[in-house]
Amino acid sequence: MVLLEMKDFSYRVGNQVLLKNINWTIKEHENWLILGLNGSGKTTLLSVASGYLPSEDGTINLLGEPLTVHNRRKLCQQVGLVSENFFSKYFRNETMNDIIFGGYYGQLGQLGDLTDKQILYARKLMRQFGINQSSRKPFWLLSKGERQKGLLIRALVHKPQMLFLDEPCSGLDIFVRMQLLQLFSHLFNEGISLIFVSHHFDEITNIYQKAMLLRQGECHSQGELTQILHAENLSDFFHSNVQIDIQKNGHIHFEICDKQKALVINFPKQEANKNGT
Amino acid sequence: MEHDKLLEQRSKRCVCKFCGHPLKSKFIIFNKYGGQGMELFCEHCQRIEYGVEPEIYQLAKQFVDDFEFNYYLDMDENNISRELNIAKINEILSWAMKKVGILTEEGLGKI
Repeated sequence: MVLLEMKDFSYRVGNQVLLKNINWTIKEHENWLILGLNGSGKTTLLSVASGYLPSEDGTINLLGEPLTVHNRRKLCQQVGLVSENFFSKYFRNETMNDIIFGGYYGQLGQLGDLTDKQILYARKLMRQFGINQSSRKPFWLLSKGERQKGLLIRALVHKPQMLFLDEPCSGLDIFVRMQLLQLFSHLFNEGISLIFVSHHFDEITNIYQKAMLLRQGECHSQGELTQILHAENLSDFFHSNVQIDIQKNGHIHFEICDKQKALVINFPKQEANKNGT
Repeated sequence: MEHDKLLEQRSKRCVCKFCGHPLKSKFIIFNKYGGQGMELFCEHCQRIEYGVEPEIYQLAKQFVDDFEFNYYLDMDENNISRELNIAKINEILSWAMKKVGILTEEGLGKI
């Protein structure tokens, strides 16, 4: 079964093209890794593909149905989006409790009364993730790690078929990061397809079979992970000579061989005052 | 009840569980292609908010103010924590009233 199919998909904001002619197919039991530099359109791609950001330029089929304004809510309830970049544009004063409960409805806020079972399940996840206390507080008062955990719970409350993970480990300490990476492996074993965006090669585990490289809103290359994360392809993508070694246990050693130009700031010289001090 | 109809009715009837101000139904996520879905929103608090029945809000506010109720001992005592406390009591009262059958999707009924 094809879970997601994007054809000739573009996305513009004003006169700025954020995504251009994206063709992308995700099949069942496929896990994808998406790599791209800052501003390459990764968050936009995930928020549109998950149905959270409306668009009509090109076609999107999600879970076997064309994504339209009429079925968007229903389809959003079957996928999960974890993106602090996206949700922090809309959430500020909402408590994390309310944000998590909104996850049952596939949009930002609640659309109906929750059952006790739904509340108890969300609470159980909050306890497991260690945010039971902080979930009572508004989004703006929470740390980056608490937000990430809350948004992950929000995406998991309705057991999604696909999980879009936009830099889910950023802002987390090394222990929580390790726990999350293990959790993603567990979710994959539960049959959930993962689409994982990261800047860090040490977060890539051996559960990903496919990869896409995004550059300035365009797909540079996509396909089997081993072909995409190939030194030659990555060197072309980064415009830099890179070395990569994928070990048998799935760990990746990545190195940029070229010397990077350092950022230098020249502060304006201060004139000495008359006393010479 | 269909979701959009339910939200429309709640926007006319319910108030924000934090500040007690009226709610509006509107699109929060939208662009030139359309809106993502109707949401209930409190313009006063600037937050997405499902709301509570006004009678329940008045009870919760009275409870917090008269009994100096404070569930948020780890927070400074200010208007933010006061509103969070009122919201908490609103949640408890609404849950209890639903359990005894006084509160339904159509609002508060008579005992």
